[in-house]
Amino acid sequence: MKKNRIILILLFFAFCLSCNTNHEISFDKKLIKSISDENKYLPSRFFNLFFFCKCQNEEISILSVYELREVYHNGFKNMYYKDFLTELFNQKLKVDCTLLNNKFKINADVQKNFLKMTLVDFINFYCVKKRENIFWLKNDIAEESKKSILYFLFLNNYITNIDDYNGSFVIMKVS
Amino acid sequence: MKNGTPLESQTVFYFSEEAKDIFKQSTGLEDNDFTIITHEMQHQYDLDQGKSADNLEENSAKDPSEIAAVNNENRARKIDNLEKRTTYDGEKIDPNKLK
Repeated sequence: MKKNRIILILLFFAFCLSCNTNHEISFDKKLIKSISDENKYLPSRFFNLFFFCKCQNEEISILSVYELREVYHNGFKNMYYKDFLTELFNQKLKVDCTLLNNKFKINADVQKNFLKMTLVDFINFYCVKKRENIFWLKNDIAEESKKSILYFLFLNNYITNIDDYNGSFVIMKVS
Repeated sequence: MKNGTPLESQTVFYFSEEAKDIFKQSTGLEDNDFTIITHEMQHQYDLDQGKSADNLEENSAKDPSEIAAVNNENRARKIDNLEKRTTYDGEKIDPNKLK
């Protein structure tokens, strides 16, 4: 009886482990390399993209490529920049976001939908396809949900920039 | 950011017919390269002159920075006989703030 219970517990942990593995984030290595190969003293060609990272206080921050350089410079110079970006984009690093402006808490409804839907369904639920691998957020999405949607898309290699002229988010698949 | 602090800026333009179609779908308005440039040039000018302290984190119809850009864009629209723009991101801009 005791033996069976131990086996059941082990099976439960094995199941949990397999669930976590399914949600493992693997941000596009090619994009990370392109960003890290840039000369950090020159303007970046990725200046208009949104990058997301975890803050120490469980908030999420949206950073520009210049803020990435600053965060790296101020606290992570002991790592290679490429490794820093890999860890950061894969949400394995938490940064001190005190000096960062664009922060938010994950919206519970969006998170619930992300966990219960497939990625394709999640995208179709919140986005309009403009052409192959390019999407816009639907017009009727509540303001407080937008950043959380973009965050979950980022974790799945969908990166956002803003069409300033139109005032809309443009989401592109990067790998 | 304090008012009066000049900031550098970078702009990327996408002058495709496809982008113009998308703009027409979302606003019902025609546009051209001139209207796009005048809109973005207002942002560049404001940043360069240190006049972006009131720039909101989120781009919206309430953002003073976007209202200024739409006002400048409307100058180009007038020159090219295009309809005046009164919205941003699908939202109406306060008519009292439009020139």
